[in-house]
Amino acid sequence: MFHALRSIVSAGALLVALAGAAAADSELRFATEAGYPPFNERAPPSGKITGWEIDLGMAMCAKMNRKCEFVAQEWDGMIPGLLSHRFDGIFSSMTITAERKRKIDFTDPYYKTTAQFVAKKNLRIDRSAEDLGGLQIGATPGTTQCYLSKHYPEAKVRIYQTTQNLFLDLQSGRVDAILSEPVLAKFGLIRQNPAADFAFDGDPVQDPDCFGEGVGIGVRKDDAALRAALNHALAAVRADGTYHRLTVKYFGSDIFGNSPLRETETAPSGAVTDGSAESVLRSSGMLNDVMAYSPYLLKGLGLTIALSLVSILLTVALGLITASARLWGRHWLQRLAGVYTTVARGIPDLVSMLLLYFGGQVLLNRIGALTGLWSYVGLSQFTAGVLAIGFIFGAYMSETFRGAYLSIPYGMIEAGVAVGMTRKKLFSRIIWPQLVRYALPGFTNIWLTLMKSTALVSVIGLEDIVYSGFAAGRATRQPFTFMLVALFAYLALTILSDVGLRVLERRYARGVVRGVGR
Amino acid sequence: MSGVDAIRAFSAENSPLDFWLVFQNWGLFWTGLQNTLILLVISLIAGGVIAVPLAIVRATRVPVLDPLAYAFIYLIRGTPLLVQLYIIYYGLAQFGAVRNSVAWAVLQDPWWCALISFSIGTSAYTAEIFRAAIVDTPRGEVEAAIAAGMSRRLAMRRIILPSAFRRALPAYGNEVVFNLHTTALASTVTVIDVLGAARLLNNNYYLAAEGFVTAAVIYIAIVLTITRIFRFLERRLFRHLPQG
Repeated sequence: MFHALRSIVSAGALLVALAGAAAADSELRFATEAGYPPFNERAPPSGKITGWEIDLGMAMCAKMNRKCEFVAQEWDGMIPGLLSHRFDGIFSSMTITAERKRKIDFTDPYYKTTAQFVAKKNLRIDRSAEDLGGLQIGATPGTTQCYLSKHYPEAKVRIYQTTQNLFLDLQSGRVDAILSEPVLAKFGLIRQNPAADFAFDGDPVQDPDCFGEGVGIGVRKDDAALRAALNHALAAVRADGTYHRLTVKYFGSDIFGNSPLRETETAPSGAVTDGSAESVLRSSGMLNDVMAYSPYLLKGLGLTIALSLVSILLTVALGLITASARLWGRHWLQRLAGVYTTVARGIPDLVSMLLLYFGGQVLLNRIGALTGLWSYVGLSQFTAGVLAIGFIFGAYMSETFRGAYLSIPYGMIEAGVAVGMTRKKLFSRIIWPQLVRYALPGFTNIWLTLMKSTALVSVIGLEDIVYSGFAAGRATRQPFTFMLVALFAYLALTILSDVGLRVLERRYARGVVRGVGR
Repeated sequence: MSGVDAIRAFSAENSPLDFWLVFQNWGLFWTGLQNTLILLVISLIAGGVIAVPLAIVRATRVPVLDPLAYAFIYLIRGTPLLVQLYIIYYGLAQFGAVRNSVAWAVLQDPWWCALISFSIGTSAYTAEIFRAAIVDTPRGEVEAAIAAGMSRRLAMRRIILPSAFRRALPAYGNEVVFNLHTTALASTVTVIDVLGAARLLNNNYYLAAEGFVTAAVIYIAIVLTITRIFRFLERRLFRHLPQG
């Protein structure tokens, strides 16, 4: 017995030591959008992050003798994520601009970027008109948005959070034209849709104010050592030909200086095999596509379930604490609990989630810096999701518990006291069984709503069933098919919990006489 | 003038939130607020129009239609609205037939897609609220209507529905708040609602919190206004009932 205990303790100590060692060895973490082929993307169907930037990054890390990892991050969280130490570098085709340089530092550029209009071949964009002929134009935040608002202030511009969604809406015809990085548009859009007849319109546009000095790896301003090391590694891979080899492999030509692209260029051999692989997939039917992506989808479903279960635990805990505070707390505690329930139920769940995910980490670390209690706390997407969902539904749960407690006839508690029950016995024999019975219908409703709310974590980039379904739908050009799969997955979860919890409700309501009156 | 500069400097450098920047971009949030409120009101009206017949079908157990209505309501209430919105916005565009149809004029606009899915969503929840209220109509009211010689249709219109609407009011007030929360999803399909404005602001200035905090404050203000309105309505409509 003692022996077993000791081995458990030593195993725990070893784990802690290992975790500490991993932190000390400081694996470098790079953020990537993972939706910017061929620079970075999720290779179907496993969802593994691959691409030119990943190969380049790994080659540079080999030169630096460090372990590296690429993590997916939605575009609008790149700079906040870097600043809050979620990762160490932004390796995701981020253009070096003066505006961004106020917040972070960049390494030397690893390629130059421009932008070019893309539209259907037969569409001519009137680029002399301030409103671009009234066409609906799509752009992404930052570079191309900057160019359009500066040069075409009258144009109708729609801003997309991800390049993938921008391309999707050009394909569906929701926007007439887009302004996009040409290498990306060529490989991610034009080549992949030969039948759609997309083409560049005019030459690449130039504006250093918007497109800056090129594309660099973003690092924190206080991380000068990392910046120097990365610059050194970049020079090394350029000098020994690795860089050239990788660019030729992916793009067919060296893009370091990024000369204007012509759409007539011949396809490089070996690169962009994804397009053809995809068309094979497509011809073999929808069901096969779903089967091909099923491991990725199942992983997403698993995450949705795990997230729901962990969140409901936090929800119940917060609900019990808040309900107790409102029932038996001192005056100020009751006030505080009241404010919490009002605020948590007033803010839309998506807003709470984004606020906690982006703002929460900054706040945590600012408190840490001010008080000196902790140096750095990382809030993973999963944690942020759990916290946000728990925060919101804890407020609803507290009302359910409070209502349930108040429904217990007071005479029963008095009777318990009268027959001499201890507080403990009173709770376990009288209060708890009835609390469960009265709270179960409310609990069922909250659980069903909570499960659906977990879909929102896909917006902060957590790979749940919605995220994986959407990613698979984009890759196969079948968003409808895959979103329908996600829809039915949720429906199945709802039916399962619905049936299960109703059974439980009936069990706890045994012996209750029903149907009095009507 | 230096006073303004001092505020700006304090806001940018010392304040935990750069409130001055938010203040300067009030026009963005104003646009967002208008979009949110218009989406909310129109989807509530459209959802209500769909919900009333659904509720009557469910409450009176119309054969054939009742199970269909139940299936529709269960499907909509049992799945996340985000997924429904994605199916309407990104999903339908998968089909050439949809893109070439007349409906595309509406479906190609993200604003309309958002409105359609919010209306469908709120219609399902509202139908359940109305159904419960209709079912709960006191037997005596219905008997009195029949005794006075009203047809079923007339009794429904004059007696049952008005009294059911009144009973449904508190629950419907909650649904209005939930629907407001739902409209925040519009920002995921490029509509500039209050949250969309917040995301744009954060994107343009590389901020983590300012936009979202502003959005949260605006949403809470709207929620408080909605609850005020409903409390007022309840007091007016329940005037005839004994208080307490």
